[in-house]
Amino acid sequence: MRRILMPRMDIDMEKGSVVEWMKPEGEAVAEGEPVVKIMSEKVTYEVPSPASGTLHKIIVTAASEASIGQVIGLLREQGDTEEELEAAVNEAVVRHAEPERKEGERRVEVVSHAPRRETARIVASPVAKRLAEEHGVDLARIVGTGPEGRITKEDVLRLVEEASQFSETIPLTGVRRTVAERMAESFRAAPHATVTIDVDMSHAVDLRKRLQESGVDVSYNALIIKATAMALRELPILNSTLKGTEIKVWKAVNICVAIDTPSGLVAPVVKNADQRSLVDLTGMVEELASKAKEERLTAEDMKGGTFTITNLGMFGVDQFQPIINPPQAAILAVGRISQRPVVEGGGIMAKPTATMSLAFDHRIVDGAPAARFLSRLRDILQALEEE
Amino acid sequence: MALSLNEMLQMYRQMLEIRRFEENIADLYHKGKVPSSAHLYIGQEAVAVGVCSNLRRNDYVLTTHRGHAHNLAKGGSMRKLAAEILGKATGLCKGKGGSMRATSFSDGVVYSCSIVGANIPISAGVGLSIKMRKTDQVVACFFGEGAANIGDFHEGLNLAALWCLPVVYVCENNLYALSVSQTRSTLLEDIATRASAYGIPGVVVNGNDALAVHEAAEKAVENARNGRGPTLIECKTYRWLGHHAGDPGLDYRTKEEVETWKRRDPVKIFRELLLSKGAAEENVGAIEAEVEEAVRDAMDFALMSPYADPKELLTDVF
Amino acid sequence: MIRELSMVEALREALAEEMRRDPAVIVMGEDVGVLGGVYKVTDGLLKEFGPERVRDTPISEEGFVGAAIGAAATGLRPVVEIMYSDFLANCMSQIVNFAAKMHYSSGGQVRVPLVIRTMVGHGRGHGGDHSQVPIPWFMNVPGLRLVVPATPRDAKGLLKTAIRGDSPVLFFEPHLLYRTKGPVPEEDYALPFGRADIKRRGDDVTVVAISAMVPRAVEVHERLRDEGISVEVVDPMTLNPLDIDTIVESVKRTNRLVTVEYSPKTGGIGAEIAALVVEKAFDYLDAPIVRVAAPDVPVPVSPPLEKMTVPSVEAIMEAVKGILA
Repeated sequence: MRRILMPRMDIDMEKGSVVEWMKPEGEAVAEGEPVVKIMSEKVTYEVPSPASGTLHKIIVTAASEASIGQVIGLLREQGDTEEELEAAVNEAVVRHAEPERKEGERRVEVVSHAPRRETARIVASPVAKRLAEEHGVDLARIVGTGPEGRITKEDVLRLVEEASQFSETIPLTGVRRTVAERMAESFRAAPHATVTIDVDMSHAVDLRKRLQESGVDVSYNALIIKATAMALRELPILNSTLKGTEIKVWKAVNICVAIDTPSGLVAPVVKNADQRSLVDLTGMVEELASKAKEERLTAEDMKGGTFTITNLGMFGVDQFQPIINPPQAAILAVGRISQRPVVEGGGIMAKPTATMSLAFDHRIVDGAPAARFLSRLRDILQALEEE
Repeated sequence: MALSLNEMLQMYRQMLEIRRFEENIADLYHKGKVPSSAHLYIGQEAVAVGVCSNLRRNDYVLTTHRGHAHNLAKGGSMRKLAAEILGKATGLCKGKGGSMRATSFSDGVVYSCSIVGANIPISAGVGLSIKMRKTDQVVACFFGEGAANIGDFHEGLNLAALWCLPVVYVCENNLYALSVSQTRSTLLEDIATRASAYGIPGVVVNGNDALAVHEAAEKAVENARNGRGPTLIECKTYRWLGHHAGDPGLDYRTKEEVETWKRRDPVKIFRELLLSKGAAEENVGAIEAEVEEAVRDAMDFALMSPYADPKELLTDVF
Repeated sequence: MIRELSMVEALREALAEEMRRDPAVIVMGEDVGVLGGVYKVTDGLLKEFGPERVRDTPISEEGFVGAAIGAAATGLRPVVEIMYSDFLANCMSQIVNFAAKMHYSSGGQVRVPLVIRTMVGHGRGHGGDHSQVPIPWFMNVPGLRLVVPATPRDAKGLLKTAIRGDSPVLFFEPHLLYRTKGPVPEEDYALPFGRADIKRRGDDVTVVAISAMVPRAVEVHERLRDEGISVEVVDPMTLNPLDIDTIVESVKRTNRLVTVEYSPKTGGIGAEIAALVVEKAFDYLDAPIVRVAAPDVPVPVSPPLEKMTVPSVEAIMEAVKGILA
């Protein structure tokens, strides 16, 4: 008999969630054959079976979490006795029901997703059982309000009515869940303030055109990343993090690029963006984007970000207020480039313009330095050249 | 009124039918063909026939668990009676009543009551119905001396007497209620003595003398028919076999006693009487042959008949 | 304006009308003639129909019930009165072994169109052997029709059906309701057996009430309506045949059942109804079935103790609220 444990796939990993079991209970599996998919920090991993045998019992089901080292499944090997297996199952189930809590770690309450009762008889009135079956409600998820905790007809109908308001129920798992937790955490911890500026993109447009004509493809994203990285070098306080009572300024400028994928928002890292050429940056962003969309991002891709850029211009959005990607100090939101009337030399001209908003952690940075940064960014963008 | 020879021959036929019928039933019982208990009348034939020979077709009879004889004496079908005793669908009661409740209603047998004494008040009620409907019918109620000690006897006779009902109560005193003799059940020598307790006439008669029974019953039937109320006739008789088929009846009686009564065989006595009155041997012999044939036919019919369909279980409740 | 009669008056009317209609109908029992019955139900019948058709009997229940059976089997339609239903024990053999079984055991040859009327649940200090409601004794005997009227209108209509029918009937009259008045139609009408009457409609609980408990259940309906609780009161009218379909249909709507009777609880009427409802509507029950009944004791004479043997309106209300908790 072998225990399948939640593996530590990364040095910082503390817990993971089971994405899906690749074998059903009772099916044979060979040593080294992938038996379960887990996810941590938006990265998916396939876990190989520790030995050959049959998958005897799934302890942690899909969409459930487990701490690293926790038993998530049991593998039956030849020669195992029923008693051994039963004992192991019971032990694992009990442990799973009461996860160890580390000191100081704040428990995140999951309100909408009530835990499934694995043991104990479900007490429900006959009509409650029938209605639950008719409406496809899992009785194990209802807390009964009848005598001795009996689930009553009313309890079931209440749930059915609640559910009937909704056309779709999407479980909060995987990337979505991580984003939800992260965003809430970020917004709660850091007092967000935003400064906004309009940038004349005519120079950037020209530069791009010129490079294209000489056969070099460079993306707007690359231009913005480069300009941001250079601005960060000048005003490094925007490239920092607050740890306890210390503000630590990072050495490297690793810019996270927010990418929208079918499973949600991910922000892989372009490392040392200040040292890369525009062409390099263009390639790096493209690669990260395709990896993201194919769910092939590695832990390495996700580590070490110091600043984040997020762009909703392709949707026609001019401006928006982003939420900081913790534990960073600030985030830049970029809108679309559009022709706008601009007053210049006493007259009105049409210029390609983009609005950029910088949200910053007011514990670390004040409005003036933030504004100064944004101003420098604009100046850089309006004069950028390829090296 | 004196009986004609033909009437007597008819009585003989009926007594012999009862005798042969009961003998055959005993035989079938021992062969395991009778599902219930059967209580046989052998030795008492003169009582049933002596009384019923005074009754019209539309007069009523109520009998007991020992009631095969009364069904036959009242003109009931031997075939249907045999089939009922065997519990078959072709029986009088579709096999639902059996031997103890065999009832030929269309021949005037209202019911066979297998709870001792129950037919006594029921007979009073039949008498009441006759009186209310203002017909000149009568009802004859047969029971053993054992029934004379149960409450229904007292309550029923009291009502019949009080309301002057057209009932002829016939106590067939065969000296034993199952295993307990009359002398161990009551201080009375004659059950008929109790009639005076209700203000009605009580008559004791030799139950093995068909003519004597006939005569006593004739008077009682006439009284009843003419609004002079009930009579209690006690017929002293004896059953040759035990209480029920399978009971030798010798745990509580002596062989000598049984033999003594067998020598007073009512059927034999009546045969001799017939011949002495001028009946031809061939006529008597012919009756005997016909009875053999009829009884054998009835037994064959019963044996070959089917049981009722299972759905009959649920019919006739209401 | 429909006239109001007491149950006694309604029963009396039924008897008189049926005796006029059919000369085969006769009345028998202790004190039914000259006295007009101890409860006056047969008052006036002797005068109208004479001593042949209205007969005072000597004290001999087994005897005169047996006689009634014999009379019924041969052309009459006797209506026998048993003064206290406790005395049914005195004629148990005739009722249970003969009236109930003659039709079946004779293979359908014999009919027993007999009605036995009897008073149940005296309620006023008559003691254990004069106060019973022995209806459940007979539910277990196949072949008997059992009638439990609760209003004057129902009593009259059901008695007519009993008399006109060809089966033996036990007709249980609640002493507690003998003098209660209610509307009774003028015209001739008969109520069918086996059709329950929903006395009050409701959505929250089904209360099946028997005999004298019906008006109490109706009172509970009225009182609880003000508290926002909606009680459906079902009166079975007859227990054989029993209209279980109406009861089940009601429970399917309300999901809760309370039975109310004043026979002792063990092996009582509620027990049979509860078992039937679980059988037929298990998946519609939202709470265990509650039976309200008399306690399992002989009825004592002392007034405060006797009162405890008949479920009160409050007791019924408590049961209803309890099942909704």
